[in-house]
Amino acid sequence: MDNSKKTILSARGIGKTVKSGSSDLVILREIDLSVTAGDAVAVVGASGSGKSTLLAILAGLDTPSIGSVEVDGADLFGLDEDQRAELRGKSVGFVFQSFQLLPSLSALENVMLPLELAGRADAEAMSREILARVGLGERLSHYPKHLSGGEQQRVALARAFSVRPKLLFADEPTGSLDAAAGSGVIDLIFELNRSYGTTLVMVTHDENLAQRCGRIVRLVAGQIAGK
Amino acid sequence: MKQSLQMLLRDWRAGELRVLAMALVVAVASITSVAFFADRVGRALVRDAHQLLGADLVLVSDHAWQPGIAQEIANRGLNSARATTFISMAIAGENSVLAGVKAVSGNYPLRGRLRIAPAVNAPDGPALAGPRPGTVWIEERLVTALSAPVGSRIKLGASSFEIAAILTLEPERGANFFNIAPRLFMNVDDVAATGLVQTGSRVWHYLYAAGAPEKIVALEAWAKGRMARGQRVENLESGRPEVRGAIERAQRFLGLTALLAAILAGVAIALGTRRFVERHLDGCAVMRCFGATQNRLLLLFGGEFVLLGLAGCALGTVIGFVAQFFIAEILGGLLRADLPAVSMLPALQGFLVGLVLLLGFALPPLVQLKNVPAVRVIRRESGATSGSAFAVYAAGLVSLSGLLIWHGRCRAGRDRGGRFRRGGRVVRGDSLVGFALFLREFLFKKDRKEKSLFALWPRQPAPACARQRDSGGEPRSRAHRGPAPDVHAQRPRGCLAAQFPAGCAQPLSARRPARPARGSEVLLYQPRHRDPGAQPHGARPPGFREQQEDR
Ligand SMILES: Nc1ncnc2c1ncn2[C@@H]1O[C@H](COP(=O)(O)OP(=O)(O)OP(=O)(O)O)[C@@H](O)[C@H]1O
Ligand SMILES: [Mg+2]
Repeated sequence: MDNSKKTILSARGIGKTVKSGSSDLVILREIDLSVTAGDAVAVVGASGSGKSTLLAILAGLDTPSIGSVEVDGADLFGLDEDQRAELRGKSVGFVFQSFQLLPSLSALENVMLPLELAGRADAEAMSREILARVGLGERLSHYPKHLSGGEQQRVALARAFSVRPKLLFADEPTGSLDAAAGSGVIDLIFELNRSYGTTLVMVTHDENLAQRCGRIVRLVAGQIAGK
Repeated sequence: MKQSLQMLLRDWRAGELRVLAMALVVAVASITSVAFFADRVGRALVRDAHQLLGADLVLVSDHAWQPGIAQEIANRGLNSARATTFISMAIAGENSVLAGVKAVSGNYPLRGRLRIAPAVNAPDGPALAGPRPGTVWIEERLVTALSAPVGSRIKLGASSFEIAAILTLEPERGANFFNIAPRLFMNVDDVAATGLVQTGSRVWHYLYAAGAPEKIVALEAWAKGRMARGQRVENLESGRPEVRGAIERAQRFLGLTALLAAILAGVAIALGTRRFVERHLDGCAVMRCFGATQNRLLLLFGGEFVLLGLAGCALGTVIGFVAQFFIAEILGGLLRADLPAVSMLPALQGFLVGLVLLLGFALPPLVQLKNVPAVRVIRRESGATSGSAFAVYAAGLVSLSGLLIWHGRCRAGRDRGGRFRRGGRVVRGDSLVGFALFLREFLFKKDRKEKSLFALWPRQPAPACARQRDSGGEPRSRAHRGPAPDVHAQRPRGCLAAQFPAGCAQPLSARRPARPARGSEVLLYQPRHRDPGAQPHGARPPGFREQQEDR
């Protein structure tokens, strides 16, 4: 695939500093990172090392104090907040440690949500299909509170993949799951990664998950330790 | 909109909106039911009040009417009747008594009915027309004084009349007959033959008009420009100020009730929205992650609330409509009157007030929803709920002040119309008193606000009584005209009891010195005398009245 040679995500000189009281707290400093399309990157590091903050900046959810990020050729922070939202809607998917399913929507409707936001007329058919792929074809009308953690995370995966994003950001996708459910989710992520050619950027503490990624970025006190 | 509807259905199904919808429905239902009822009572009061006037508009003159006026009333497509009043000796055999004669055309009164009985103490009934020529109707007192029962004859001036009935009720008089001459009704066509009315006699000539309100207003404007010396125009307000005051009171009370419901509902809506916003913060952050722009979220949730508002207000209006029938049923017995049919204006009022309440209390916190940062999905504490709680309180405050300002505008509008004048409220004493006064002022304003909610659509002229109360209790100049009139309110049958609530009946007593403490809220007026027959001998010279006429 010609896709695989392209750099889909690149960060240059990312720094993040927040004011805490009188002193400045440096969370990230001088992060340079570029990710090739189709790759799977694991971001690992100790708690508090700035993994989630980095992920949020790479995804355009948070803004860096310094530096720039390019996603799919677009300068993220040259765009305004709404333009970033549109870019996310088009080419980015998310999975979170706490699933973040909307409690008032059924499994099917949760998966349909990004498609509806994108104005897709075939939202329901696509959602049914992908829910069947993650093994929840029978649970379409169930609400998140009636699903187990593993099942919820699979719904979240279906939601993230429903728009066929180029990039998937995941913050500790297995962090709330036991080993068995976690490995099921991991299998699913890589399966979807293969079939859709999605680029993965995952923050994780899970060694098992990190080992399956082609590349591991280790953060130590806000800096990339070894490449 | 389609997605808003989808969202609405999903949130409804999940039970997110029930408290909110309930609050809205209850608010709209209570506002509309009270508005419906107040509207019907208000119209009944006005209708009955016009019965007390005998017409919609009355023209009074101390000399014979120039011929063009009666013609003009007829030309304008209004019904007209006429009457002449004077005092005359009624003679039956040996006995003679001074009677207050009222000579009326056959179709008098145009509003309401006289009531007559075939004999003293016999059951009475409404009279369908005035006395036929050659006959008179007299009050029971006259029967006693003259020893002249129904069927016997009495003499008035040069003519002799058959007593055809006992007069039991004359709504226009509205006052009891202790110190005034007893009433005698005759046909106006018989007046000339009696020879009692000559140049220089103290006679009052009345022209009555009734018909469509806008035609009456036009006639009033027309007639006011043409009144000669000794002539004047009387409408409900000038003719029966006490009735106007009672109507105001009744509507204010009902309005206050609805206001209370609205405020409680506003609080419920604010709390319900707050809950809704808190429960949707995460969802909104997720939607922003998945590409929803801020405007998109605003439209989505704004649309959802507008739809909810429309549905809730519609349901509330229907419930209010049904409920007012029960209210009317329960209170109907107390009112002793048929209420006019329901008009649809209050439905519109309730509906709009409901929407204003919902959007005023709910939209500002919803705006908070669109501002939730997407990063909240990763760092929960961003866009924490404390911010939105503050927003809700701020929003509640803003919408409340909005309503107050709105109301203030409405009132200012009235002020410009010269209908109300608020006396300065003196704030004095320590801060506690100041605070109490502030609260009072606040409540007072809300009271008025409610009135202005109902006054969104101009319906009735503003009250005369409020003017008096607000001007610090100064009696109106015309109140001092004439000797103390007699005002034991006689409530005509078929009229609303509410026309004479206790608070209003009190100042009716003319025996009290008419000068309450300044700032007192007692309604103050003295009914004005329109009827020389109602005055004892040696009353003021003619012309006294004219000097004080028409400020
Ligand atoms: N807005 C902020 N204000 C203050 N401190 C912040 C802010 N954002 C992040 N931090 C701090 O920066 C550090 C890194 O946070 P981050 O969430 O990125 O760590 P992490 O590597 O994801 O940790 P964990 O593995 O526990 O999730 C933490 O000490 C955190 O408290
Ligand atoms: Mg983290």
